[in-house]
Amino acid sequence: MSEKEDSREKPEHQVEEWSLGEEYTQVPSGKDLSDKEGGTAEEGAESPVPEMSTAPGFLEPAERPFIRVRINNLSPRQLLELEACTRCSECVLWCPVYAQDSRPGLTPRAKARSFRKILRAQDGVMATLFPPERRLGRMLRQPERQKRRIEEFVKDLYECSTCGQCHYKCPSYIDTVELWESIRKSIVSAGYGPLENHKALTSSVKSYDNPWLQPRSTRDKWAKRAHKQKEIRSVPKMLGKSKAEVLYFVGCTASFDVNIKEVAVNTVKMLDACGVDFGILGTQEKCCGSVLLRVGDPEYERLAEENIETFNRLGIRTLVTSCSGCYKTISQDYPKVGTMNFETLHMVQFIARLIEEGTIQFEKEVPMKVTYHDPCHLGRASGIYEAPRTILKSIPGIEFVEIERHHENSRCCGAGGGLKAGFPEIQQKMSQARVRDAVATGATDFVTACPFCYQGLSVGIIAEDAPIRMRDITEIIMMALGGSDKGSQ
Amino acid sequence: MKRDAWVRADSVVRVARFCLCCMVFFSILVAPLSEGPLPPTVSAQEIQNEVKTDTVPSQMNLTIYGEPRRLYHRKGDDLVTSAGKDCIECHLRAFYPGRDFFKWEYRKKWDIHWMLFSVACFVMMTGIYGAVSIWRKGEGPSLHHPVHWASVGRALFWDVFLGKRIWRQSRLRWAIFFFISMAFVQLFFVFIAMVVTRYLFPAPFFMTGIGGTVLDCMADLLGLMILVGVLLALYRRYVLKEEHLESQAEDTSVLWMLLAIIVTGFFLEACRLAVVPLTPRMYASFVGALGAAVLKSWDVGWTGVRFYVWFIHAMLVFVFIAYLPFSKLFHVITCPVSILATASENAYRQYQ
Repeated sequence: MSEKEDSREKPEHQVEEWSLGEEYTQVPSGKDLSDKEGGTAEEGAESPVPEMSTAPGFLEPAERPFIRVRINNLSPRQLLELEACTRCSECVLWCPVYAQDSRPGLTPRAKARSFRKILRAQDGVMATLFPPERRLGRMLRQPERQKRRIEEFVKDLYECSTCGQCHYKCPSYIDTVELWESIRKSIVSAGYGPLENHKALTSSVKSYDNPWLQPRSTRDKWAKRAHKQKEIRSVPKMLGKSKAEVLYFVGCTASFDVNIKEVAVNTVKMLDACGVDFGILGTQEKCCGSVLLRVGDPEYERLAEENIETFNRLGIRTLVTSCSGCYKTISQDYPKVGTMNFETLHMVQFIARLIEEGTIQFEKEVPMKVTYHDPCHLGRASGIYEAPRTILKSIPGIEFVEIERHHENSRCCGAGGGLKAGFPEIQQKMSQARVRDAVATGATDFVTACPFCYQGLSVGIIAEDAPIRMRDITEIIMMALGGSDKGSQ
Repeated sequence: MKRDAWVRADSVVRVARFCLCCMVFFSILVAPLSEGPLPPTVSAQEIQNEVKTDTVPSQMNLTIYGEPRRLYHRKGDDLVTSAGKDCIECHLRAFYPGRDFFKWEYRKKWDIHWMLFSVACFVMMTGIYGAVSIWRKGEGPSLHHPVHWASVGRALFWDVFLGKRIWRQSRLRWAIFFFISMAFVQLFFVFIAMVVTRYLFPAPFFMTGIGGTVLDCMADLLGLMILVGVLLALYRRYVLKEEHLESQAEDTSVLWMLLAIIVTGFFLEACRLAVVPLTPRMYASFVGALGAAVLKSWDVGWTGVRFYVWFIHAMLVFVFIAYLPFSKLFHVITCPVSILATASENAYRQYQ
């Protein structure tokens, strides 16, 4: 067996990621957060985590009284869209979660129906005449029924990666992602959600501004270490203390995950190589709030407002990020909270623009056959499909092949929307299904433009023992720019 | 599983309860109509005597809606209407055996009709009110950007009227959508045209002229389109049994109701055409004429049958109207709104 074949079968760096993925998805809810304050990011990430039971942490049916689900945070359009579902079953055919867990309740069709029933039971004409809380309602056991109905619905609501595939298949064009997120917010406000596993993440974001239970002071440690190991020429300048045209928003995953930090390192090297005047926020950077938004925590708005204020104060022209989740949150969701005085770009857009302007040219040949996975937040949510393909196709030596289900039909890897934290087994099955798609193309390398997808799919590759290597697109770009050649061997 | 069964039962019971209430109400009001048998069929000689001994004046002029109109004139032994139609077509026992019956019927039938229609409308409006009152509880912004009218216009044509996305997904589903939705929209306009030109502002062109013939033909054609659409939908559900397609009561009730309405509608028309003399205009109502040709082969009092089927048909329509906001068919209102809103919002996304 040749060295190349050998390395494809057992990619060394992916073995480390297994434990990391598990760490992220299974943060113990009862963990004492203060213990972590003095530790390093790597120590935290590599610490053993007890295996949780297979059953996700649903809310226990407590003995508390029935509480109505307040729907004032939903828009009239969203409430109307619940009635627009024709139950045509097109969403069921395409739902990547349903493909792995054939529970009828979790389909978009069933969720719309269940929530519609909940609303009719608590806000419909009959409920107005005979409220569940009044004597007649109590005689008919309406509160108990309604509470049970809501608790069952919560389980279905969170077994969803909010990938948006159903929106792109719905003949009624129901904006499902926004609908599920708004409903999750109502459910959380009423105290029925989120799931126990999510609570650890959300409390970490609120306490430490990251979902990794890591102290704020360690957020820029990846840069210092990369500089110490001579991976980057210098630690990027810290915006706030100095000025720059471009802010590189690193994101929590690339900042704290020991394996994903390569995404941040490669991005910094790439921006340096292109001569871009950029900086980072370092320890002042906070989570974009995606975690809170996806699980419906109302604290998201506070975090978003704080971030917008920070960004606006910097006087930057462009915010660039390598994380699709952060990109979607900042470019699509932040404008609903406040006004921003800069342009937001994903790294692939930024590089594609530089290629178009002729600022950078890829000269080094990268001989590999690659296929590309469209991250949900970058593709379906933001409509960015061509920029990563333009980059890959412009690199000499790369043979690009399309994977089955690409562009707006891309099969979700399950890493987003709180699914990975709430239902790790389902997420793993989803990532394995996606890896099988990639292997079927005959590609040697599987590329994506999202650290979160990278993390999820890496786990899938190991579980499948697939002969394919996971790559972030920044890694390929750096190889083409001559900054790294470890993968091309 | 237990919960699903409860939910299914709940839906069925709700519809059944409503139908039962309507039937009880209907029975109380219609009970007096069931008195006495239909008049016996008269002989040809009696018809001749009736025409000859008729003492009506040779012609009659009236002022209708401020305009002088001649209702009929005598042409030889026959009385002919201003539209050239024999009066005996409608007013002689031989051709309309239930004449006496209908004289009585007209006193009550429409009263009952409007009463039931009002009840149906009340239930429908209550349902719509319930839905709207829930929508109004939402305080979030429905649109995050100003309306993008160009995108809205495109979506209205391609997605709302033509169902572009459904066409891409399944030709069969598109055919169902197209036959039912297009026919419904057009039938609505035909219905409005009929009510306006025949009842509110009578216009001979649309009553007895070519306009009337076209409307008759359109009504039959569109009804046939709905029938084909419904049959295709039932074929998809019960014969093809497409994967993941659920056929619970709420999914199928509207289909069965539509099928019953269309079939009874065509049957009513066939009954009518089977008992009146054949005229060229009847061929415009081609489905009814075909049905009439079949019915004529049986020696049955179709006028009487028609009277009862008329009530069944009317009841089905009323139940359908009342059930509309509680059924899946409510998407005829909500879907276009969702499609147009999404089209407007998507116009502002940074697509590359």
